[in-house]
Amino acid sequence: MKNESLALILLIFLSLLIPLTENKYLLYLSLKIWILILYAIAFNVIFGYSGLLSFGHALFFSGSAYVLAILAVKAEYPLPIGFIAGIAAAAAFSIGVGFLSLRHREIHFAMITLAFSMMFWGIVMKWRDVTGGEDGIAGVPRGMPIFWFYYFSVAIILLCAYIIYRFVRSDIGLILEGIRENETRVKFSGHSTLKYRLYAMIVSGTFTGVAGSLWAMLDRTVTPSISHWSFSAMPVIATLIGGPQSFLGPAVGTVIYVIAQDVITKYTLYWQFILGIVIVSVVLFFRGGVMGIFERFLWKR
Amino acid sequence: MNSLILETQNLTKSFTGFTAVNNVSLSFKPQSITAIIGPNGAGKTTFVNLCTGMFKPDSGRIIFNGEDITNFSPEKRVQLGISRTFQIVNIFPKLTVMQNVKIPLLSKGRIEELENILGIFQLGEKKDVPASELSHGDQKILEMAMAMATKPKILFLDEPMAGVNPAERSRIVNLIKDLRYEEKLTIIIVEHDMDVVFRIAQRITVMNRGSVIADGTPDEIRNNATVKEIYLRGVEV
Repeated sequence: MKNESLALILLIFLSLLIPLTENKYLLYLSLKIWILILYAIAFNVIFGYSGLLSFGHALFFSGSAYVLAILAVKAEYPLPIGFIAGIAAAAAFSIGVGFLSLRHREIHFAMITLAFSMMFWGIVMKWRDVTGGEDGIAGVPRGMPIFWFYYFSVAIILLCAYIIYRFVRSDIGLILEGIRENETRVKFSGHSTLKYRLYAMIVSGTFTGVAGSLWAMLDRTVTPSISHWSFSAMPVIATLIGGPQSFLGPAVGTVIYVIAQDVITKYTLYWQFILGIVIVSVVLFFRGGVMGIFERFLWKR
Repeated sequence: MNSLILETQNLTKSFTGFTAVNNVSLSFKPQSITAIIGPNGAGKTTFVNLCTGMFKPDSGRIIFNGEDITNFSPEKRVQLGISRTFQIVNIFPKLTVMQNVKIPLLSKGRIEELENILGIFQLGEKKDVPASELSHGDQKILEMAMAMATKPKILFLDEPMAGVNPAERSRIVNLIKDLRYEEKLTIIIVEHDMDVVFRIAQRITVMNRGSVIADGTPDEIRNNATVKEIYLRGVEV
């Protein structure tokens, strides 16, 4: 456990040195990974901790990014207002989707969340006046130089990750674990399971929104690709690779996912083919993902 | 009127093809201990499921402390003071013993009772063990601890002795007796072990094919001709 924390602190420290190298490519890649880590950790509140597979988290991510871009670029509001409104929109979306989907389980829940995110994608594509359609919205402000934006973003992401950590380790987190394992027993313990699932959905959706807003500012553009269902699949895959039962599993999976994608596409066009092989082997042989292997290895010693 | 804690009026529940509970009207006095017995398929567990909110009845009413709770959710009934254990152990296997007890305690904001409950059920030493690693008897006891954690007024025990070895059985019997006196509980127990039933019940209700066929003190039931006949037939089938 101590070694793990040390390794984590070392990695965070190393990533904080990246802007100092003045290597723009590395800086972008690193911050992209940071943002996607927050995305995956927030997603895993619903997936790993509540046992519900959402296939629509792109809605919260892009919903927040689009609200920020529309307010800051089109309506010319100050950036902080766009940033906060984006996150608030993600929270509102998660309440709405939560109310309509959380009575359902498994494939039904996955399909309902997917349907909502596809609806949003449709709106983004068609409502050109507001969303810019296929071209998206360019010229999103960052409010500060990229150097400082990097540290600003990492600070926010670490704070959010810490809040999520406290949430899943809280009494509510315990009840969510109970629901995942035995929902009937939670009901017969006197809890409304719907209420707790909604809490999880709001936490998950809101922090996904934080990631989406940061993404819009990093990229300086929002395009429909972040509303597309394949963008909802990203945290699912990253979490499966890293391990949904561990808090840091989604983070580890995201690092592997993004770096592997970046490296593999340099050598071959068949990145997704290799990704497919990895996913199949993880699901068939390593249910606990990378963190699961790691833990098993550590315990055996 | 208020001398009854629970009353069912003409409770009926059918599943495809058969009537599991047929027009059952029973009433229970506070701090009483009633055993429901009968052959397999008599409707005992379905009756418990109806009273605790697992299913909604097709017709009839359930009155708890003068309030009609027929359409209440299980969690609302637990909030009012109706708690239960299940025939097949129903706990959180991967969570620790302590976490198992914490979840029901949280619903009533009684988390300060944690050590006390673990103590009553002699689970203190095992509190950090995953529930799946407990013996079967201890799992049954843990489930009773979880049911008691919500401070119920009425406790349904659905076959607390099923699959439990004789040594652990007497421990559970003693626990049930203690609970009743110390917590002023009303207990309704479904059990096949007649030795246990006659040791703890003040009143025995016999069900067969969804209906109540006898209801009385242990002595009355022991000498009831119909009951004897049905039990013998049940064994033959």
